[in-house]
Amino acid sequence: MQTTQRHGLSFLRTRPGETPSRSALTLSATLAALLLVAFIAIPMHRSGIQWDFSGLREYWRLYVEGWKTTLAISAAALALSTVLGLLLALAKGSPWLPIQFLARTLIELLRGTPFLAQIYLFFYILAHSVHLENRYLAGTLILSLFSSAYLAEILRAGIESVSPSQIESAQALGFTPAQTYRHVLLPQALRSILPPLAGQFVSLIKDSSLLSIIGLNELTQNAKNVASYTFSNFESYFLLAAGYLLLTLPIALGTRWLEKKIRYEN
Amino acid sequence: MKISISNLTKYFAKQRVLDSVSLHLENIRSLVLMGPSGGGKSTLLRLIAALETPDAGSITLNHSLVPQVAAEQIPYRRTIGVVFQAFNLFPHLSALENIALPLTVVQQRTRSEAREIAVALLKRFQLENHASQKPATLSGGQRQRIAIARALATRPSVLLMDEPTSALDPEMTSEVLEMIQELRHEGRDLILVTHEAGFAKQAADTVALLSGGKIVEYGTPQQVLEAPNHEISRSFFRKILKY
Repeated sequence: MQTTQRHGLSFLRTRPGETPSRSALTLSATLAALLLVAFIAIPMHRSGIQWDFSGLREYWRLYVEGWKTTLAISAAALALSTVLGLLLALAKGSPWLPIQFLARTLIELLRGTPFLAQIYLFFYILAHSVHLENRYLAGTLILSLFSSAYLAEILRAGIESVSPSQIESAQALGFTPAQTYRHVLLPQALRSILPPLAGQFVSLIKDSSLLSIIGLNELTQNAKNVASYTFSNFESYFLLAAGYLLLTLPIALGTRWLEKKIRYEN
Repeated sequence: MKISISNLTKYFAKQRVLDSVSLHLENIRSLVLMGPSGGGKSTLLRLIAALETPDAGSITLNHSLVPQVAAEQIPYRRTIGVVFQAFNLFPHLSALENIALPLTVVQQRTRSEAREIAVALLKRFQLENHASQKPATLSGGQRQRIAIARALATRPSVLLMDEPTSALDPEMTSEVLEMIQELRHEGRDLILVTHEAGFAKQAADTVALLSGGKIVEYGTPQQVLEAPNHEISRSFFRKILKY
C-alpha cells in the first residue's frame, strides 16, 4: 500500500479514483474565482478608466438585435458547416482520386488563407457573379464554407481513429459503406472528436464577427457603432465580450455533458 | 452443406497465400480448417465469406457461387455469419444493441422485433443478465459468445469462425467451445478455423489441413489427426500436441 502524507493544503490535490470533498471543491472554486477577479480588477483599477455604462442604455436594442443576428447566423452556419464538413470528410476518404484531390485542395485553400480575404473575395466576386445579393445569406454561406474545412479535418481524424476491425465486422454483417459510416464509424468517431468539435463550433461563433466587414449588422458591428456614437469604447466591448460568452459557454457546457453521457471504456 | 472450391488462388502483394486450392465436399455439417500460421486457412475462410476477392478460381457454397464483385458481395454476406478472433462487437453499443443492429439495418426489421429476437438469443445462451452491458465491461468469453449470437441472429445458412478462441484464456475458451458444440449438435452448418485439436476431433465432420497455400490433406478427424499421411501434417500435429 502506498502511504501519502497529508498536510496543509494537500487536500486540494486530486488523486486518481478519488472524488474530492465538498469543502475542497468549495475552497478551490473560491480561490480560482478570487485569482480571476484580481487578474481582471487590478489592471482595470490601475488603468484609471471610469466605467460608465449609462451612455449605452439608450442603445440596448442594438445590442439585442445584433446578438439575435449573431445567434441566427451562427446557428445556421453551424448546421450547414456540419453537413458540408461531413461531405468534405467523406470526399477526402473517397476511393475516387479526382474527388479526393478536389476535397484536399479545397480544404487546404480554405484553411490556408485568412477568413477576412475569403469574405471579400467570395462576397464581391463569387456571390455577385451568381446574383446573390442578400448579405446575410451570403455571409452565412461563406462562414459555413470556412468552418467546414476545419470540421472536415476533425471528422476525418475521428473516422480514421476507429479500428479497422470495426469496418470488417460491419462488412461481414453485410452493411453497405453508407450503413457502416452511419451506424459504426460516425458514432464511434464522435466520442473521440467532441472536444475539438466543440472548439470549432466556438470558433465559428467568434469568427462570425468578421462578417461585419461586408456590412452585416451583427453583434460586433452594432457594438462598434454604439462605441462610436457614445465614445464609450471599453464599456461597449465589455458588453460585446459578454454577448459572445453567452453563446459559447452553453456549447462548452453542453459538450462536457454529452461527453459524460456517451462515454464508454475502450 | 455443400462446398466446392476450384483452383482458388489469392495473392497479397506479391505473396501467393493460396495456390490453386481445390476441395469438393458434400453432405457435411462442419468443416474445420487447420494448419500452421500463414498456411492460408484464414484467407480461405475470408474468401468463403466474400470479405476478400480471389485472384483466380471460384467457390460454390450450397449451390450458389460466392460473388466476386462488390455490389453482389454485400447481399451475399448477409446470408452467412462470420465471427472473428476478437474485436467483433461494436464498443459503443450494449450487448443487446449489438445483436439488434444488423437486424434493423440489414434486414429492415422494426426495433421491437429486433429487440425480441436479440433478447431471445441472449436468453438461449444464458447471457440475458448482460443485455445492457457494453463490451468493455464483459469478459472475453462473454464478448465472443455475444458475437456468435449476433452472427446467428440473421439466420445465416452457414456460420464461419476464424480462430474464435485464440484470443481467450483457457477457461473462456471452453465456454465458447461449448457454445459452438451446442450449435453443432443442433445441426448447424459450420466452417471453423481453429488450433484446438481436441475440439476439432469432436466437432468436425471433415478436417482440412492447409500449409503453404495448399490443402495438404483432408478427411475425417480420425484420419487427419490420428493417422496423417503427409510429413507436413505429422510434424504440425506433433508440434501442437506436444504440450
